Amino acid sequence: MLITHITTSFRQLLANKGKSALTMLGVVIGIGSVIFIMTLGEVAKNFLLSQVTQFGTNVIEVAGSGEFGPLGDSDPVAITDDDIKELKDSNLLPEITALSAGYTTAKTAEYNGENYSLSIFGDWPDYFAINNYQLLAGRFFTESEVHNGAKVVVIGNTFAEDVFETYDNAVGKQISIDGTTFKIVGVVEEPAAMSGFIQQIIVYAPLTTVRRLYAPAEQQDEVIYILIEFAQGTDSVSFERRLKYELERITGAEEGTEPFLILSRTQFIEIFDTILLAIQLFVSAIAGISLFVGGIGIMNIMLVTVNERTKEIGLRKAVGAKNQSILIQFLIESIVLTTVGGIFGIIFGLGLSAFAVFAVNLALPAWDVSFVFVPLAPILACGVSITTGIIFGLYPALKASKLHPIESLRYE
Amino acid sequence: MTEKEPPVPPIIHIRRLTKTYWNGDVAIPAVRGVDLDIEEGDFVSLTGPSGSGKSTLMNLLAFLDAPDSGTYQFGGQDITAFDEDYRAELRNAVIGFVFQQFFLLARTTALDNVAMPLMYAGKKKRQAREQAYDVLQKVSLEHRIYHNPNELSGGQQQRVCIARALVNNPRIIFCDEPTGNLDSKTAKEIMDIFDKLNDEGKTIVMVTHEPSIAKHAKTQLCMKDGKMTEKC
Ligand SMILES: Nc1ncnc2c1ncn2[C@@H]1O[C@H](COP(=O)(O)OP(=O)(O)O)[C@@H](O)[C@H]1O
Ligand SMILES: [Mg+2]
Repeated sequence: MLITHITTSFRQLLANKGKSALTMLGVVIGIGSVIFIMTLGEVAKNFLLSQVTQFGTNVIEVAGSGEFGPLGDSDPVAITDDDIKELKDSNLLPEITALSAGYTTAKTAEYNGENYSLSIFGDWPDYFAINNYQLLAGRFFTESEVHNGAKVVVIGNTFAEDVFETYDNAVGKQISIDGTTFKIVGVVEEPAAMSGFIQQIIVYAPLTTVRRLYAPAEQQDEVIYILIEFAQGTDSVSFERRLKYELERITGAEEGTEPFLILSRTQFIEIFDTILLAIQLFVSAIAGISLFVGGIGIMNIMLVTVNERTKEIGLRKAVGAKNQSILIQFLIESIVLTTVGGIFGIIFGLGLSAFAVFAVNLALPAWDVSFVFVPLAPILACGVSITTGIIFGLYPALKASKLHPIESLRYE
Repeated sequence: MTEKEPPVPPIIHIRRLTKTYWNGDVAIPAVRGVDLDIEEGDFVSLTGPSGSGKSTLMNLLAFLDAPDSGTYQFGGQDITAFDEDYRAELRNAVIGFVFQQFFLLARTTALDNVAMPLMYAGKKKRQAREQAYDVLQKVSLEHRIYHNPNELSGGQQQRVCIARALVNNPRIIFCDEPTGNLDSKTAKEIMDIFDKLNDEGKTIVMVTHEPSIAKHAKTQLCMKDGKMTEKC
């Protein structure tokens, strides 16, 4: 009986192809957007995760006073080189495996008559190790260059490609940053996310050099960010709490003023997850509206169908169909409609996602984003389609089931 | 063995049956107190002028509708108080219908049209189709089983209807003007099938307004103004 109902439904659907297609459009769009957002959310999450793991997840970033500034309205608290040394040797933080602290500012560089806006990071060589930067040509700057305040820079691959064509070609060249001549000693591979989307040039130089040239007199022994790498397997919650305590103790910050912004790399993922959830909720709302409109369309075509097939209903009842059989028959028809719409929606959503991934790869090859199939998405989509069919098919089916056999047979 | 056999009850036994339709506040008494007995194996024709209540009475007899008052015993069993679902089951089990307008499902083969009532009896599709094929053979349509109704002539369509009415091996067949949409030659072919079915023992009740059709019946009943009359 069930199979008979389903084949009847398909026959009905195919007999009114145009009308059925129009009716299903809302469902197709609704389901398509569900699939699209679920797939792209997963794609983005995977991409971000790969980026973060590339940097190392066991890294905590601390932003203090200065450019990054503390959040909230508390007074900025300075972190000095002495504070950093004390932090490094703290008995409360034995898990620290590497630490680098630096100063950064935005400047204009000049090479071959062209000007470039860039951010210059002054730091220690450990910065490269903690961030897992790979050397493409030349070398990193050294500790002794930091002590000497040498005018050397390491640049990123995009900048190197844009200005010097090859990495090797960049090494040894002189560029002028804010009027001071620097020698390029190395080229590093930047994280992909930085090279494509955030069109920002970053160069890296010894901390002392940057501070001496660009920091105001009262900030000559200050840093504005700290990168801390800790041992794998550390309880990060406890570590963060102790780090905060130590920072406040060492810098003498007032209690309860929250002068530091402590960001672990895993927190980036959490923040991203929150944003993603918001986007997903928004698109789900659109999908919901689309499904609702689609559902109303389904209800409408089902009411028309019931009306057009009143005689058929009368006949079925005359030969012994009970109300329940008629109800089930028309419910199945409506479910078939929404499920077929849902299947088209799944295909549409997957196609759109694949296209989006393809387009991103075309525009930003460095990102190397890969398509992810989310098995839950089509399952959820089918569930939603069937539910839509039941909800919006119920009223027409109930109406059909309650028709009187004789009056239906006499219906003109 | 020596005991006297109990008397066979008539297949249909109705007393003082009434049915009134309401058109707003206006009562239309369609059946006004009918007494009737129909014996198993009979061929009954029901004639009378248009609007005399023939169809209404037939619908009551065929459990398609419930009477307002009166009693109805079918095969000795009182079914007056049966509810809708029960009546549907009963129609499915013991009644066959042949309608003037055929009422065949479009885009559905003759075979599946005939098999359809059996699906509501919970039969498996395969078995339903086998039974449908048997009755289609009986009405000489075995070469048309995969044709849709729109590919069949009027006479062929009515034969599909007869096959559909026979497929559940009913105890009684109700026909409402079965030849009303057919030319006289085709009508005769259809009536021959009914005659043959009755010869084989099938009970038939046929509503018609044509005397020539009524002549085929063993018992000729007449209705006027919702009541049975002696003379037509
Ligand atoms: N569903 C209905 N609603 C209202 N009036 C009806 C309905 N069915 C039949 N009637 C009326 O009842 C009377 C008997 O109708 P019917 O049984 O169809 O007569 P016949 O079949 O003898 O032509 C007629 O007056 C008809 O108009
Ligand atoms: Mg009539």
